[in-house]
Amino acid sequence: MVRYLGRRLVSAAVTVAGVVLVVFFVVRVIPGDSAALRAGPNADPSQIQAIRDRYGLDDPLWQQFRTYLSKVVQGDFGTSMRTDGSVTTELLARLPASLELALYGLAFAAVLGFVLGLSGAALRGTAWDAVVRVIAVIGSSVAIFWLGLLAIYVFYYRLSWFPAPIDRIPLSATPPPTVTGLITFDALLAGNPVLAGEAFSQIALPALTLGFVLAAPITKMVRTSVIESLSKDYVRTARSVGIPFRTILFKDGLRNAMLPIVTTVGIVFGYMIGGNVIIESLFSWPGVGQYAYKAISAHDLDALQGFVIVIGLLYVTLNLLIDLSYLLIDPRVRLGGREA
Amino acid sequence: MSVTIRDRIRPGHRVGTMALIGLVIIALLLLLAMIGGMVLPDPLRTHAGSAMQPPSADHWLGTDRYGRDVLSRTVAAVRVDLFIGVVVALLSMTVGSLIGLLAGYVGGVVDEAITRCVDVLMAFPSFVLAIILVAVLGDSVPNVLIAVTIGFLPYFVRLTRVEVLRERELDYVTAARVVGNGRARIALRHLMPNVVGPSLVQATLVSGWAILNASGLAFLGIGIRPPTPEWGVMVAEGANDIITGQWWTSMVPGAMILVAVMAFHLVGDDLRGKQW
Amino acid sequence: MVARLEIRDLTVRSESRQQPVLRGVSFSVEPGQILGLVGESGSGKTITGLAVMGMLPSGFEITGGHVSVLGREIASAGRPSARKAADATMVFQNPLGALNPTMRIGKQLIRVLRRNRGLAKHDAHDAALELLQRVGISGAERVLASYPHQLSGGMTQRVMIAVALACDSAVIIADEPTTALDVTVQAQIFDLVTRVVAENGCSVVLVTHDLPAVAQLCDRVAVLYAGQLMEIGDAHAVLEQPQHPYTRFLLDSVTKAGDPNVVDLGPDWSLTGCRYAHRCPLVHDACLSVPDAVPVGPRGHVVSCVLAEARVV
Repeated sequence: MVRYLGRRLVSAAVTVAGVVLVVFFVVRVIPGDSAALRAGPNADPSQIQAIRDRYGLDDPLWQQFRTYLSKVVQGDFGTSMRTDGSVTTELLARLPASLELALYGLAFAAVLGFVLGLSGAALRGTAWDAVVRVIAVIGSSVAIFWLGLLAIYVFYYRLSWFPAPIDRIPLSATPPPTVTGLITFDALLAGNPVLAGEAFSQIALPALTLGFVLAAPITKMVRTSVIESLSKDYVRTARSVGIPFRTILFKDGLRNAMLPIVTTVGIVFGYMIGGNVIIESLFSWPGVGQYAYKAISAHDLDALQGFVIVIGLLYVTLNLLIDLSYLLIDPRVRLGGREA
Repeated sequence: MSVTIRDRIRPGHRVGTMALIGLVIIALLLLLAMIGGMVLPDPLRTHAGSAMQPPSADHWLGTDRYGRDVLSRTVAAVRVDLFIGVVVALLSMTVGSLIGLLAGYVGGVVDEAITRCVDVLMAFPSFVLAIILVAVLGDSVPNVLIAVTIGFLPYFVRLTRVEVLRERELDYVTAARVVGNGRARIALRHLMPNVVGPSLVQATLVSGWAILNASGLAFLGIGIRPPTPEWGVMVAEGANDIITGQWWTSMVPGAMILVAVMAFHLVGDDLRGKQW
Repeated sequence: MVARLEIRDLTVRSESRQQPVLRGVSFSVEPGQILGLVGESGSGKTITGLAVMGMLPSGFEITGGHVSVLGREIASAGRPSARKAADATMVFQNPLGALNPTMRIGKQLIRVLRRNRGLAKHDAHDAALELLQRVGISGAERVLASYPHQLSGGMTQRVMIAVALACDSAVIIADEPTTALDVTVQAQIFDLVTRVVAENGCSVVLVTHDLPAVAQLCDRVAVLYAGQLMEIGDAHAVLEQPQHPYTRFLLDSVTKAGDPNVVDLGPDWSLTGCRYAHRCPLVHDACLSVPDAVPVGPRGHVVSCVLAEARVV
């Protein structure tokens, strides 16, 4: 087990180093004239030169890299051209909003994915199973920005079930004292269930949209893995000794299907981070995705650079956590012995 | 060899109904791409007088705020989006498989280096990678192709590499080597056809994903920009119209994305062995 | 405990072959008796067991006859299986993979005990220990705490027998329980089976192609070929004086004294009469019709062959 941990940690560390390197390469090396790019199409030469001076773009590449590396190692991801603020500070300030959205999105996706996938596997071959598969294909083929737009149109403009997508809480409300950074939880902790409810209805629509799209790969994987594990010999044993089907489905079917399912959840988290940029810009959600969107529009390469690095780090950390979770799920990994 | 590539993917496999539907849809889209321009009104022609018309007999899917016919614009976009989907898939598959072949066959330091690079690339969601690449390269269709392709390269590298690692121990490879074939020849002539199966399957799925990524970029305002007819561009342009209840400018192109990507998905799933 | 398995005229049809893979099979097993069900691969031995268990794979269904345990019908054509774990359980061929790899042995054994004997948790734990000891596992406490992948094949098969015993079944069907195991372990498992039957009084159907084992263990033998029961009777009667040409062929192939006139082919499922006709050196025109079961010796020694001479028992 220690060897397994050690190997994963080293691998993750190397990948992180690679992430830092690649981002520098992409942002500093690839563009022909990154100063002109940052200045935008309407800048005059003096503005462009000012940018060059400010970001040290005239310095030799290795020196630029050294400065970059020393800053990144300290957690300084540069200065935003758009706001003049520290990218790191701004990203950190926005992170809780994105995390809350991610949490709810993943929660909806997991619930929907498990319910559909499990029922599809248990009722394999029936009409419901066909419905499940169709929903899964639609979920993985739909453009998330279109779905979000559709959701806003139907559930806000038409049905008024949800409030206007402008922020995490209604404009008139005051945010609760920060404990976790997740407004719905903080509001409850502060004993303000009304605020929590309002915050929840603000987050519901973007989270549901995200959740529907993310549910698709989860549904497929749950269904496939559970069908697979239900076909195994130990399920036959359980059936022969009189264990009821419902118990078999959960204890033997689902439990042994968890390994690939957990992997999928990790991959899904990756989609989510990408989808967040679109969702956050569509729903005006003040998270890191919206920050990236603003950076894109303003050609704010340093802000984008910081965003991409943070995403890369999050992703590597997540994969590491997933690998570690294998230790908990599969005793064969934990204890060694015959390979699974 | 008389064994076809198809046999290597799924020997003796009969195409399932859902996949058939997918293929029919793709064929229809191709047809639209080719002849659409001839049959329908000009997608770029603006006509201020008939702006924002709901679907009617004259304009089956209505007009947008510049008076352009939504149907013909949507059909014109088929060409762009389908082109992107297919080209990205082919490009990432070809380049990715070659790199994977190299890594798996040569092994050693080369393999190690390539695997590390792939790990790093896979540390980013393909969409995020595409965002930053397009931001850096600039807005144009070729740049979008490159950016989105790079996002999907790692899949093919890994797939091919795994297949090669497995196949290179087999007898026919040894036989080819004994007879005196050079390494490059063995890799390309003998190994490649046998390892390309899973990549072909992945390529159909990537076609769909490429369309999603490219249109997503366009929706955010980068990559492909108006007035180029592209579904993501159209949804972005029509996004604000929804406020006033005018749904057709954004809903129609978005629905097309769903149809096209679903078609690729159905074919890919069938090839992958998921029967309906 | 009174235990009895009765299979009468059982017919199971295969959808893919469009033929019965079991045709008119009848036999019964008394309490405390071990019946060896022998035949080559594909003869229908495993299907028989699965039919009793109500666990026929998809594409197979019972189209005739019935199965009863202790006088209660548990399987028949057109109706879902009414088998309970207390009626019959099965020990399968490959112990590897027969247990849930993510659950400790103890937990799996205990849930069977709680399910079938209604025991409380603590009592079930003790019962589990006792069962493991009964099947000859020392260090039972440690085994209960282990995961399946940590046990050897032989050990796992013992656990599977314990699992079957936990159901207190009237009938245990052991489907080639030792085929996947080492020869040395095989003998131990067979000893265990004998002991279990002696202690428990249950009926055991030992499905196997291992004739020497049958000679050693079984009270009665049933010989199956292509879904047709060829011969059945007391073990030593059938094995020492086989009356059916197929039984003789089987025994000869064990002793390697073969009749060169016998053709070694796979079953011909299209035969409507005797299913051995295409291979039998004594084949007749009369073999085109289904042979009757003819009593040829004492204590239920029955042969399905037109050439068999009925002897008054």
